[in-house]
Amino acid sequence: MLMNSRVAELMQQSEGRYLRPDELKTLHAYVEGIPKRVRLYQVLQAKEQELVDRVMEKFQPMMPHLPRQHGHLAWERCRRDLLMVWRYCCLAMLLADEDYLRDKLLYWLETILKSFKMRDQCQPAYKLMLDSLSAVFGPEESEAIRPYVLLAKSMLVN
Amino acid sequence: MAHLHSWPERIANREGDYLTADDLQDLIRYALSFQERLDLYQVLQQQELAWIEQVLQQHGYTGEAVSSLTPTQRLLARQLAFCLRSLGLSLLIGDPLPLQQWTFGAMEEYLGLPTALSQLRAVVQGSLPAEQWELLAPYWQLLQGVSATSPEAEAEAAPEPAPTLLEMFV
Repeated sequence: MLMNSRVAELMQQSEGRYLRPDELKTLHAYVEGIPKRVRLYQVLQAKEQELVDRVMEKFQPMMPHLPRQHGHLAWERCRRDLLMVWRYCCLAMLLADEDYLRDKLLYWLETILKSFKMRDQCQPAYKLMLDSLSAVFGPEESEAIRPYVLLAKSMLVN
Repeated sequence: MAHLHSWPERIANREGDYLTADDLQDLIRYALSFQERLDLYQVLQQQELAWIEQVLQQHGYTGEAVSSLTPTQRLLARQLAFCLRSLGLSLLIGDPLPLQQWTFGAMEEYLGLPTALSQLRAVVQGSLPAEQWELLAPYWQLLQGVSATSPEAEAEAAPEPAPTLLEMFV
């Protein structure tokens, strides 16, 4: 089973004993949500390119000076970073675990963006990503992924 | 035997990418089997004492008061309960990790445990309907794999003695 940090903690605490009814209930609720989250995850994966293309199309005219400042690979790197953030957001949604997103990506990437003073430049891209969700996905997918993209945006560029 | 994968390992392998279609399929299969796993988990919990008593009887316990257990029998009972609980948790969460991580210590503490586990396996298998046993069997196999450090298994796995000088050159 995929474990989020809450379930993992519950497992650690239960070493050598059976789970209590309230713990079983927590686990049951988590597992019950898995098929739905898998279905959403598959849609988010399938439309990844459409989302990132849309963001890039709008972002590039907003920041025409970016290749001059960061070299000819600037757009490629920008797309790569957006894809990376998106994929971690999707996995975090599947796990129902914001801690996974923070621990595995955001703390690290936040430091990089800060040290290269890129937060202001990247800000519109994450705002565009957030704004594009409802255009690319249905309401259910958008609502499921939104908290994770919001978290990414708030840590990386706000 | 169904191959049991550890989820933290699978996720780590796919970090920065998407889980594979097989992974997602396994996840759905797991979620759909959860109620069955939960039912069996509760059987383990309810039957634990009776099953362990049956094994202890094979180790000289006469079925009198628990206070009459010898220190060795008491240790064995504790270790068997620990193994059974780890087995149950692995079954419930569909992940071999609790079994692999927690039972290593138990194996170290009581040398007769692999034999007692085989006895417990026979008792449990005899008590469960075939379909429940089928669900539990891969985890049990894993548990016995962990206990493969038994003297018999060690003897089986021991490397062949190095050839003598005479054998090497003749």
